[in-house]
Amino acid sequence: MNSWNQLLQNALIGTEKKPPEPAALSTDEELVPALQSIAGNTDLDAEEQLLQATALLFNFRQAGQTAQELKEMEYSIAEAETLPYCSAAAKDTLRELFEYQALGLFYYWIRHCAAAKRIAPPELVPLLLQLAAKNPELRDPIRVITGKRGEWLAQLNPDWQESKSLSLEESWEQGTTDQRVAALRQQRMENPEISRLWLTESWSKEAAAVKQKLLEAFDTALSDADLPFLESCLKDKSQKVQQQVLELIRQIPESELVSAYAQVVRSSLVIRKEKTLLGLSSKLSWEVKTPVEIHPDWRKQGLETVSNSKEFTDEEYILFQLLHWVPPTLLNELSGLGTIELIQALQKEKLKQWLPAIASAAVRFRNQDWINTLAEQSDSFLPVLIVALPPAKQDAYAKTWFTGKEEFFIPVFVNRETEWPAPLARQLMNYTAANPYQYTKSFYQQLMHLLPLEGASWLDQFDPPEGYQRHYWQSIKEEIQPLFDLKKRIQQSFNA
Amino acid sequence: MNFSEDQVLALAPDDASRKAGSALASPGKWVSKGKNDLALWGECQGSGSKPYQTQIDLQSIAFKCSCPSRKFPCKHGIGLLLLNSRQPALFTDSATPDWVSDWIGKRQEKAVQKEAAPAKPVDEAAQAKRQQAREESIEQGIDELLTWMKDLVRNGMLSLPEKGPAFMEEISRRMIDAKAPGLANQLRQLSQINLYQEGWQSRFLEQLARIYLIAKGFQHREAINPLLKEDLSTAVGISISQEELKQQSGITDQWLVIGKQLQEEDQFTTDRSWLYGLQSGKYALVLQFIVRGQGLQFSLSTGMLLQAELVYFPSAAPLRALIKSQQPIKERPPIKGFSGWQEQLQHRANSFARLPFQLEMPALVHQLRPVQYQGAWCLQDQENRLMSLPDGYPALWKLLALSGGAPLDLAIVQKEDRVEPLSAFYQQEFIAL
Repeated sequence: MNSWNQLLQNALIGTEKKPPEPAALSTDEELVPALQSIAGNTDLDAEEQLLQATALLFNFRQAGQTAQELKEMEYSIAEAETLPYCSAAAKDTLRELFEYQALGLFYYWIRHCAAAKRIAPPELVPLLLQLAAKNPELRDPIRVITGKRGEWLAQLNPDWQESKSLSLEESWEQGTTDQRVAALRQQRMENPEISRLWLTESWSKEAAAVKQKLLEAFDTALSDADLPFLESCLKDKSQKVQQQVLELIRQIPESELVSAYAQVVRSSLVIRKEKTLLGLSSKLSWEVKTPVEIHPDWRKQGLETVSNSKEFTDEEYILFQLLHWVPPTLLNELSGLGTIELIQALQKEKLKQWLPAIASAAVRFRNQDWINTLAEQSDSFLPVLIVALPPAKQDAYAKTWFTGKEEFFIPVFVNRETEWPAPLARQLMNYTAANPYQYTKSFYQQLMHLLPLEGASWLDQFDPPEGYQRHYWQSIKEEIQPLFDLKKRIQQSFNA
Repeated sequence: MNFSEDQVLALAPDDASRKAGSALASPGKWVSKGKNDLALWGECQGSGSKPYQTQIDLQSIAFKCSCPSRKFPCKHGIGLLLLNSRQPALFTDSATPDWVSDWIGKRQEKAVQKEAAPAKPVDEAAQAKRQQAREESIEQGIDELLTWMKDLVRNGMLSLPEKGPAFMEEISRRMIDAKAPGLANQLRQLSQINLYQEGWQSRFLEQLARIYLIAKGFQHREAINPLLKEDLSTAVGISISQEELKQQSGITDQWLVIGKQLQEEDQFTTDRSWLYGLQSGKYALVLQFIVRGQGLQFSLSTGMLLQAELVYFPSAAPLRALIKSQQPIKERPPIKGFSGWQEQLQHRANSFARLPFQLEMPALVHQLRPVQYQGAWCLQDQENRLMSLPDGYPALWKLLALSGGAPLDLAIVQKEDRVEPLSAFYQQEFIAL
């Protein structure tokens, strides 16, 4: 035991029980005379001897401190970067972003940085990796702009491991559930056959909750080749999984189920174009032949046989549901009419009620011709179409329908990747500003990348109707004004 | 002087001011703005009818604003300085408005008056009497403290965790009563040791030894050298008149701010700026106290380089200093620090030989590589010697990110056997960690 520890033991146990023996301490020769002098001083009691010896050794230890020498030490060094760092101005905007925590502007900054083929300065890489750990959707973009330094750091911190670059196979085999879902989705696009193989091999070992998440990724590039696997999953123990599989099968026109639905629709629905009484014009005849015969299993699969709408009889209601699950082209086949002509004919008062089912089918079977034509030709607002429309057509649809239907559009528009066109953004902000308790400061922080820069000049023009709302909007406005300024500086810093 | 954004933001007293200041660093917020060699100024439209007048003395980095904020610098000061560092071209007006020239003029006048002012007549007899009374009070306090320490080691420290912090707080309060706030502070550090953390026993005994050295040293102060006596007076809490200190001549050098630490205590914040003299090779610690948001005399941030005269507080191993005069400079000559741990530890040992109870010591050490050894992060020098970082060192990831596994020149402060990096020299800049 070294001398310090000997004294420590005395101090811990107490000099009453264990008096110190300064002269007997096993220590360096240089200290011996001083310790002997303490021990030999009869004026000192045991406590004083201990404190004096401790003070002496404390100083000796402090002054004699050495650094441990290790000849063989392994360490890793980050690889040299292949891309240049961003400018000082861009670095400053990124650092400022961490003060505001405006997620939308992080997207914006990261996108600009990646587009400029630059990387973030190393001192901010840990903050970016932390951001990626909290926001999985940012992991891939952040990986790109944190370069080799980010890769190196991620290896050292288990919390950042997910930010490490993994191949699709590695992600599928070793990743977290989120990473596996992302890998499966990617593989569905690149090679659906391999993705099927992955899922077939692992299916029996997956938990029900994981199966549900994996199936969410499976709807990418769905085809008839997936049917054998999906049909085998219909007997899964989990009801939720069964229902999800059923929904996927209902998206494949070649499936037996969809064919069976189509068969019932063919035999129950007669669509004809007929001349009017005077023979000067024509009208669409839409006749439901009863009874509508259905397979007994379909009820178990969720088909309702009693109408919950006064617009439909029970038989019509069954047909209405089946129309959700058959390709809309079946209507072209039954009527012999083109899509535009058919949709125009369906605008009549008694027939409009069928449009929601037809729009739903168009989206389900990803029939872009039907989706676009319905959006352009229908007098009815069909919210299901919004998400399936390409951005330009979404904008046009919003131009017609946005007012009063804001809540249908906003959830779709917030998922856009590119900035909203100015007129739409203005309309949207006018609505959100009027509802400041629903659309708080965090709403704008999340979406700053989508708001055009001219939005800054509109803020003073929005004027919520109620006093209490006005007051709250005022405080939100003060918070978001600097974000517009920051966005502008981000843009300038990468364009300079 | 042109500040970098990092340096400006480091001047902000807290995160809220940093954020609010950033929001004000926009040209649209300022009704007028201008600058010349002496000052930077601007008028910011706030919620009141009159814009706030914000001004910054560029020679000694001091702020003034007509806003009612208690924070210092206020958000307007930060915003204005930030705007200047981002877009200096916007500050085209160099004609000083009256409100700026008045303030700058008064500051200069005050500085001249201070230098020229004759020393106030001192009633030396009364002063000596007061000092003697205080020293007697401290000696009585020290007698009680030594009795307390002896009781503690007689009964054994093992029972300390059961006694809890109140046991130490009582004696600490007694030292305040005895007019020995320095000792009270040392005892507070004793009470801050986590008695449930591994290794507390040794840390506790070390601090106890430090207090014992100060207490006994003060008792025997007449028999020791005058500089160490000054250290003992400071350590027990007898302060030195800063005005008197400023009358002395100091060391004029190019001083680099190698690190800055803010310590928040009950009523005030202590701003600790570590400086390094590029010509003299000396280190200095400049302490400034911010009471309830009042201002700092000098706003320093890591990486700043000053042409300044520093006066050290009298000490056997001088470290604490005050800035007598200063002005910022731009060009930085090469920096010479320690080549490795052996050299730095030798310097530290020499300093301990002169002042045995000092706590922490700064150093600039070249080429240190952060490495992991036995699960703990250390800094390895060029001769493969290791010193450990403190447990839970908060800027570890920033340090690693800057290093990428390669060695860096670091400014560190050593406390006991741990070294805490304050800043790193990276791409020709000192970056605060």
